[in-house]
Amino acid sequence: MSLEKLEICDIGDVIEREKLRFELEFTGNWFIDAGILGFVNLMEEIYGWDLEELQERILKEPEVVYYGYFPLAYFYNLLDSKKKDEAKYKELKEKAIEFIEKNKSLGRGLLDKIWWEHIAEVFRETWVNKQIEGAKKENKLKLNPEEAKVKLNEIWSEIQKIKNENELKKYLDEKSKEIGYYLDKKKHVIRIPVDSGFYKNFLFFNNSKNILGQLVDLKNLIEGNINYSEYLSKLDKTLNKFLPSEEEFPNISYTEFKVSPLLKDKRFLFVYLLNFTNSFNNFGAGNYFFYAPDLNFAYKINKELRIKLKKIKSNEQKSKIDILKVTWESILDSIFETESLWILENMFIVYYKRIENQELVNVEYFGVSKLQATFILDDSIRENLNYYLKVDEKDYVWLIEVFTKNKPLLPIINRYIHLRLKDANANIPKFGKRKLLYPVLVDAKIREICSKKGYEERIFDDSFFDRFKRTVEEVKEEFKHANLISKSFSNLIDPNGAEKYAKTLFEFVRRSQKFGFVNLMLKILNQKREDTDKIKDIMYVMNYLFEKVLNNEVSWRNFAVVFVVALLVGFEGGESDGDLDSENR
Amino acid sequence: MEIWTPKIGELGKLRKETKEIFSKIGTEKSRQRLVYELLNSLKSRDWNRFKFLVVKNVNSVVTNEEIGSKAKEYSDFLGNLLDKYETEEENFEKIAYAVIIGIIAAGEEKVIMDEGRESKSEVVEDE
Repeated sequence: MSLEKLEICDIGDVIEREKLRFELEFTGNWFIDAGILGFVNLMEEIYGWDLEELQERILKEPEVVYYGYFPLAYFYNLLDSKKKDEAKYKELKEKAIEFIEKNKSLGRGLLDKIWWEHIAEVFRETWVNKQIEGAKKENKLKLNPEEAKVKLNEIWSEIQKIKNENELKKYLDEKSKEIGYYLDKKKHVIRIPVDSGFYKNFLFFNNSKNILGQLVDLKNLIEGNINYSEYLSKLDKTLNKFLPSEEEFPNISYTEFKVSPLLKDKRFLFVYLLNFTNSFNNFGAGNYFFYAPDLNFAYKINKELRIKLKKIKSNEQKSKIDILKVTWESILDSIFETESLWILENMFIVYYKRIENQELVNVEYFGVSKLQATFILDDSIRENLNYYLKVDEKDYVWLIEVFTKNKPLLPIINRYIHLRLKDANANIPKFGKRKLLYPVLVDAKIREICSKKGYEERIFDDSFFDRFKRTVEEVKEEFKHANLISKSFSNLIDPNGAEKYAKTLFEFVRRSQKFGFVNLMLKILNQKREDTDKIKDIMYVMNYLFEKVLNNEVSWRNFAVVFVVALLVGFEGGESDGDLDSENR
Repeated sequence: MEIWTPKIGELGKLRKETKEIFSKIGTEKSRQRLVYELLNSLKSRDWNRFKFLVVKNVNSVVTNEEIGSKAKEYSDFLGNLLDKYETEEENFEKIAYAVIIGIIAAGEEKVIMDEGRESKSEVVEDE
């Protein structure tokens, strides 16, 4: 081989290797990404490899992974879940793994060996029992079941040696006569007995495919041979129930999702698409999948979610659990590691209850808006939204959950204040200014942004994200300001009269009586006017009142609550929530 | 339809000018009493009484050499604002509270910087 040729070969190899480096990277398309995660989940469940180990193996020996380990894992996973735990099947799996490890040099050739010698073996008992049950049902079992079992086992061993369609037909015809009962004679179907509600008739799941056809299907699927079948040339409902079918969207030129361009980036695309359902966590009443456009993050959160859900065993507990809440807890635990707006604003939970007549039942998507995601990314704001508030005698509300659902925070804070003012001695957790004012001020900012003309149009602006980053800073500035004002206001009020004022002022807020609120505030300030030591405080408070309450149509109640909180914390004393002074410096 | 409402700039100007004018009217104590009266008139929704009290106090300095012309300008400005926005009850209250905030702030500089020149004229109490 000339040196020139050698170099060309090397460059090709390098490119292929580089592509493999990104083989498991997410694409941004959630159908495909869910499949990638499903593939990662499958390999972890069957072989115990974590993401890092899988990536290393793919880089080092891709053919061993995709032609050896993957087919074994996929079909093993389709076994009845009880069988998977049986020692016999675990042994079969270990044997297959040993075989792959010893025969890595076979490369793509591993698929044939694994199929006939290991996958077929794993399904031997299932197939034999199925045949006997089928024959019994139709009263065609002439041998006693034990004899039939022996015969059928012989047949299963024998067909593992037949690798030709005609020979197989001939063999089965003979055997049917010999053992005297129906042996899938009509179609000569002798196949790996696998079925899927989700993939239904897709390639090797189709009941009319025999074991030879199933292998050819699997081979072409791994290869990504788009000329092999219509199933592999486009993405539609036959492959994924979340996608539309041609009938639903006859204007196919707009909706057809061609596969060939995708295969350039994802060499084993169909392996992933086949693993779509493995990305979902089955729990209680449905199937859940948390998506974020970053494999590491989505992998971590889904794994945590699975572990948490596994711990919940009783049905009663299962019915009470709020998946959204559990997912959010995992996200918040991990968020400091990512700090990426792109991930946060594009994450969502996909839920479907079940599949009925090949249709998904109760599909729901829970997402987080760009605006909310921006706030959650900030440590201070997140910390001060991530807690539970008691809102009535029995109920607690998790503030950040309300926030991510795009619901206003002010009513929640108001319910808490109402409860505290109702009975100062009641057993209610007492929070300080930081925990109470941050939600109020974030809520005010969102009201302000959403009320501005053209807000909807600006979502698609290039500068949208920069503006939001500034918005977070503005809220923090607003908190410092509100904190100073509340201190000034506390200085003006005699602690003995604070509760009475807090109650009256809060009533004006609840009734949306802005001018009543301003009137009482000015009365309080006017009373203190003579005290020359307090003039600065009076002026600070009055300016705030003028600007944030009197001249504010959109969020005046939020800023009015700042004064109520100042009194509440002042006369009751809230739990210390950090060194406020350091933030004001 | 756009809501016809006083702009924050207009109310800011009103507050500032009120402060300037009322700094020359009455003493700290008398202004405090006036504010109390004004707040009560608003609470009882007695707009006429509010206007009466404000106009009466501003009138008391119209002939004053130092601030007479400024007081007339202030009267015009306030009158125009009320003409423009008074059709809405809420607008009137906004204007009225901006005036009160100006009165409470009045004399702030005097107290801090100019104590020797207090009480040139008395605040006119309601009769």
